[in-house]
Amino acid sequence: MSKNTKTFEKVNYIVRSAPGFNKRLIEEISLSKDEPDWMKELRLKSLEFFLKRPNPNFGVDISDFDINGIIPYLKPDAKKSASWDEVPEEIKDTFEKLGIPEAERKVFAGVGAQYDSEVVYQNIKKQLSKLGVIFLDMESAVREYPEIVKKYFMHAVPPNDHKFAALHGAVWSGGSFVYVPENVEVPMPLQAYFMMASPGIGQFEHTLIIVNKGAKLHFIEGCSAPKYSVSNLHSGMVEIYVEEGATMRYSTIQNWSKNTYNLNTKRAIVGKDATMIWVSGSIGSAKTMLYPASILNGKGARAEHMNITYAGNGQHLDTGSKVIHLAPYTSSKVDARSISSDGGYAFYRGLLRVSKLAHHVKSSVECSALMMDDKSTSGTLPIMEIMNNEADIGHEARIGRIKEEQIYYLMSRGLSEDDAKALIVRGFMAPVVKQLPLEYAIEFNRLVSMNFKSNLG
Amino acid sequence: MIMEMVMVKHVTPEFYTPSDYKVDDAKKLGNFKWRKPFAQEYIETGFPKWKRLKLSQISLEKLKPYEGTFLSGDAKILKTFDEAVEKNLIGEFSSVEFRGAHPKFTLMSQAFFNAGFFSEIKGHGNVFAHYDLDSNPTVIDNSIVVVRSGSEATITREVSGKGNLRVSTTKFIVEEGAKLKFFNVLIAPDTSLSVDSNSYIVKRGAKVEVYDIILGAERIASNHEFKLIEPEAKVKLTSAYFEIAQERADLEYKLIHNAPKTIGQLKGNGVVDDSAYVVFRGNIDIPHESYDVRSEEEGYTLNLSSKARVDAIPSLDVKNNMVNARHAASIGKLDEEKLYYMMSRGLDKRMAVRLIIEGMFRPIVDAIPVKSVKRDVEYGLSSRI
Repeated sequence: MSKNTKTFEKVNYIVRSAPGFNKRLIEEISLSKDEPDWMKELRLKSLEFFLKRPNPNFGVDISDFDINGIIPYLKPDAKKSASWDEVPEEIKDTFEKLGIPEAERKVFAGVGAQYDSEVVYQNIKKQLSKLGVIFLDMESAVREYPEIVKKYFMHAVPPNDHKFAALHGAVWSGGSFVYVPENVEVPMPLQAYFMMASPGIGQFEHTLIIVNKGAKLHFIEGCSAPKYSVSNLHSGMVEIYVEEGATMRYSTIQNWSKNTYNLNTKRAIVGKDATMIWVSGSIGSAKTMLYPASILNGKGARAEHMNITYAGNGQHLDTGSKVIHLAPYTSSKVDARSISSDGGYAFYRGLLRVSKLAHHVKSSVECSALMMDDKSTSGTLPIMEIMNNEADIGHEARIGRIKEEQIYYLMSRGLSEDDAKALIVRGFMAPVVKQLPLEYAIEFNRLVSMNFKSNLG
Repeated sequence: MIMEMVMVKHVTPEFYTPSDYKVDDAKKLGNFKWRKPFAQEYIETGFPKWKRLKLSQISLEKLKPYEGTFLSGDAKILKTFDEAVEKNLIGEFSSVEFRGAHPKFTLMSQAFFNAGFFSEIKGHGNVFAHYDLDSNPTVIDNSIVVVRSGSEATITREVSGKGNLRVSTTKFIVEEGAKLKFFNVLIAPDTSLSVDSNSYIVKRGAKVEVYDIILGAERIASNHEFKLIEPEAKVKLTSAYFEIAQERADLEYKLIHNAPKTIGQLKGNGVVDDSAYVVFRGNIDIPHESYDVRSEEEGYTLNLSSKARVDAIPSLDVKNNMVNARHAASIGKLDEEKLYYMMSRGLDKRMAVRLIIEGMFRPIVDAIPVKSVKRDVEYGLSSRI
């Protein structure tokens, strides 16, 4: 991913807010987005919660992080465009380096690209629009589909959920809105790409996805940022509603630069016989707290969580999952894998809750952690709360290293030690990585090879 | 910017109660000079607000010396804690600090104990302590056990009856090559609160086996923290619990592998029925310098009622890659097939359930060395089925 900061310096900004979070700022953001009153009220209410709430009492230490030094809103001088040619050259350059337009041409049904606080490009294939699929930047959706947005926006994650949900509610900007009508199966994935290009900014994009009865969608989210010496903050939010019998797959590759605090909230409400699949790969950021959640509130709802976390030098990644079984005959499966190397700290934090009324639940939680050296740290904390006796719950966790026999075996077959290690790590990650879209899977494997100075392609 | 790679520490909220013990209350219990510094620290500390145990208030009764005898056995030194303080036997052992379930309760044990013992075991030793809550509704015990190098100790502690409060703090020092077996039995249904904190210092090549058997009290906090401080130390804890009615139990077991080549095992088996609620926490901590550690944790809970609740909170924290650490947990109901099979052989459902549960507890009950305790556990179990 591009680390070239020169490109970004050329981009002009038409709104650049001063650091800090206050009522005036919120009113300015709301005004500049030409929002309805209810959204402005929601923002102001959220700000109140944010100012009152303490930092989370678990997870990564953010006491060093000066949140008031963050620039909350930065609007590049570029109108949202549906044609790639109209996007300003400097911004286009950045995304082209990330392969966005090329990817769209090849495999995606639609692409959205966000640069700092605003979406600069959004496009969807015509045949999908004809089927009634809506794929818009969030601001336009607030204006064009107020009824739908109002019904769902910050209902899965209310603003007072936690401090950073409140912050998000106050200053959110950009993100995607996806609406898939009943029984429409979107044949190719939709993709959103987030770029934090400026030093010291906060990105607070909001993704709202509604997959109606019997519909099907795969959404891919990619994140990256160049590295600066000051901290950036990413506090996005994803809310997903999977209606009866629908299937939703949400894949994320998080590769924020290592000066980023990634404090993100993702939650899906899963209806009767619906399926939610989270595939998450976290390799970037300095500190991450991210626990995608599935609320299974319809009979027969299913959730699958597949996480892979790679914590390298200077990184503390506190990732996990949250599954709340509220209805009978619901099932869930969590497969979390982590690798910590070169002094990195990977921690799995999970919650599995089976409510009193959720009988005949089946759930399995598996976490495995691979430690590459004795400088690194690994931990797991899967909490299980089971409130009835008609539940079948299994859990296993393991922390270990690569066995020397495995390395010797591969070396005896002609591989170098680095190649052998890289191959074993790839094998360990494979069940999750293979769930990612091909180009991301390749990127992931390339990263592992780089870490081991391996030449495996 | 230097970024610290530390976890945010969860802070337990605290509460105070006007009826709490004062420093002067320790006077009536004797050995005031020894108790005083603990009492002074105690009054500065609040009670923990435990969410899962629903502890937000506490009723304390007047402190009284323990009535009757509670201690028997044979060991090089075996004294009640009071006698040991009088005879100056405690010495440096009292300075072994530990947090236990919560500092408020460990301090309470040290400042206001009315029971407990000090034992030093050399060669072979057996100790049996039995606290009767029926005649002593408030039992606060403070104990220290030292198992000298190469010695073997068997300690059995039973707390039974209906009382108000039981608070216990015990320190075990198990020296090089020594062996300790500890049977810790609580059969105190209708007792409002039991808080039991145990700390174990396990030295080179020493072996510790602990059986934590829990059959009631309305609210229970049981805490066992093992520090394996020298190589080849080995710990095995087996927890067996059966909670019914509205009982709540928060069981916390912690293995801290402070030395390389240490082995730890936590095993929990239990049953919950009615509206009972059990939290099973198993923590494994392997610091940076501890290579070649094997540590594992396994929990199984049988849930007999749709209203009962079980939380499993296993945690692993590993800072060295030359280790093998794992945990597994399962929570389920009675195996229908097993039940059906037994009923097809002519047993009615009650008998079949009884057999399955007895089967779960049998190996532990059989291991109990004191006959009367074995009988009490058997009776306690069968009255719960």
